[in-house]
Amino acid sequence: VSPSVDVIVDRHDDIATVWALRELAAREPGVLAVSMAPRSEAEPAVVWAILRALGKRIEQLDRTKVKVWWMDAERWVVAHRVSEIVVLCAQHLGDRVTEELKEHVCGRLRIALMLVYGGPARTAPPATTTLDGYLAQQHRPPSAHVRCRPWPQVPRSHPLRLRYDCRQQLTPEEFARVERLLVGSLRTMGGRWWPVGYVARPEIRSGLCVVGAAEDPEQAYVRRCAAELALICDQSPIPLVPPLALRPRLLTTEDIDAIRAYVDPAAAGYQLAKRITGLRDGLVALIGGDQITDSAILGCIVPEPVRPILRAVDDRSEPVLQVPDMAAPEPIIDTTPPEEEVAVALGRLLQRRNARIRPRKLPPQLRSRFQALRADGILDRSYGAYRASHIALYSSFMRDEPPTGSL
Amino acid sequence: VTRHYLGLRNASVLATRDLLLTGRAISDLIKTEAMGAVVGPAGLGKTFAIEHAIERRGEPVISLTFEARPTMRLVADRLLHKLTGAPGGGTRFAMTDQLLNRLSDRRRLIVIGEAQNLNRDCFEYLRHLHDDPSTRFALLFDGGDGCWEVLAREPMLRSRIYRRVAFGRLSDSDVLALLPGYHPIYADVDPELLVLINDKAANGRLRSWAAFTHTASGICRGIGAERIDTTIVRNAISQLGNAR
Repeated sequence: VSPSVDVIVDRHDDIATVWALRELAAREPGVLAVSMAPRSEAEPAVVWAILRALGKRIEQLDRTKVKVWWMDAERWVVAHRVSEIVVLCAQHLGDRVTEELKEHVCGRLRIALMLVYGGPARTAPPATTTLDGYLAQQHRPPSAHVRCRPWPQVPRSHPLRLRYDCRQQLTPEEFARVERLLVGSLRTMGGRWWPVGYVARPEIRSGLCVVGAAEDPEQAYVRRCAAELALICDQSPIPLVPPLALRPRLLTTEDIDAIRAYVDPAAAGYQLAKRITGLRDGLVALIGGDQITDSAILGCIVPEPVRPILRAVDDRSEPVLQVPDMAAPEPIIDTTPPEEEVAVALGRLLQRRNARIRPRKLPPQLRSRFQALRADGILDRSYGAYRASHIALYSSFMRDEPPTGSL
Repeated sequence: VTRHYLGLRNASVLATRDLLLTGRAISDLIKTEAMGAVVGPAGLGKTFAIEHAIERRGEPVISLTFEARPTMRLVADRLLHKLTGAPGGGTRFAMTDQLLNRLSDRRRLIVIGEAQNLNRDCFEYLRHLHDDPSTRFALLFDGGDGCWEVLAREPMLRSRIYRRVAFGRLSDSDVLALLPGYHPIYADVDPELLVLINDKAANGRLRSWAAFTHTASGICRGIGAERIDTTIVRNAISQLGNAR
């Protein structure tokens, strides 16, 4: 059943009506009051009226010619958990846009609509209720919106067999979810190399720290493994890094107004993440949609007035914030020799399916490490040479299908 | 200092009932950020009273007067220009957004002169700006003949006009009570002479009184007289074309 479309006709266009409805909107968290400017006969006028009522400001954006569409209004209305929209001065809406409004608000979003016609409006439909009746009725609470679901328990496997083990142990739905997170985190970490081909050791440490951070321990483990997998595939040593511990910054009222002004959720999310976490752009660029919960970014609690931004941002397991262009990271300055050699050797095996390394060509200090990896099913010994196992190739996304039979 | 009509010098501000009511109304409107109207036929001192009341207050004031039938965009553009010092740009939504933001930063008074020239869309637009919960401005319509009829015709304005001052002509008793203090040339003159001027030249309109006083004081200066007499009055009336 579609939500209701009610009509109030205020022949006297009384200011008291406006005040009463605005007070209702201020009191009821699920009710949004939108005032229509004269001649709001096209989509942008109505969309802007809705966006403005939700705190968006054209003036604070970089450019004044910002095109907006119904999907912008829909996204933010949902993010603000609006359950009823009161349209003041509905007589300024054209017939076509009124129908569009009903279709988008009631039809698609299932939100109740109250159209308030003021003055001697020629096109006012018959009233379905009165102001007093509407004020007295029970109003719908804010709609429920859950951004984060708990993550399934994943095996604590080596990065080079996590994907395979997850496939063996999780349900198809759980595995698909974990795989998306693996791919997203892998791309996020690996994507840092693509533009320049190298990255500095401190950058690797801080990147690993951010990409591996999550409130849910299962999610954090998958992310961490994916980030390490990216390093392994890139022949980079995996540094030891402590868990990310950020101290959330306080936001002023001006900060909050400025952040809420953005229409693009990715831009608003960037502004919010930057200010609340204090991370520099290069690290904000790594924040994935799954690291943003209903109330926090990377564990930093976000004030209530800007939480709709968290709900509006994409929840993909990949970077979702619109970060301004950044300078290229500095080249690697130094590396620790043994770890570098392990990383180079292991990475070489993952570059091609038939890549091999003869044990005698391995430095003595690496042989025990390779034997341990072989025992873990990550490396095979074939014709006297080490090569990446099917499990490792599958887990590092070099093969599409997992090996048959359990290992 | 509020400038008298024709730059008349040595003239005092007449504390008429309407001038005092205008001062009070503007004070109330600014305090409550409400809408008001000062209406009445031309020449009764509405604009002078508004300017006089405004100059004693600290709040920023924006005065706008529009030609006949302005568009909403013109209203938005002029208002934005007054607020920012630069002409408005972008779409109407962008301009409205800027206006709503600028009108939210501090309490101010916007005076719309010749309000009878606005059409319904413009009134609706001003109402839209004023009704927004974030904006903080008082809105005063200053209009001449037909202004109140235009305002009263719009139901959305009728319920929003918090203070209304309807200017009227000065009666003979007003003239006798107030005019001796208006200008030095009227000090201690025969009351009958003041009534005669009001009847023949001013017709209860302050603008006409200012025009007469400007003319008569010039004659007084020319002949070295300190105050008017019957001859000077007749001479001045003749110069003014016996206007009524």
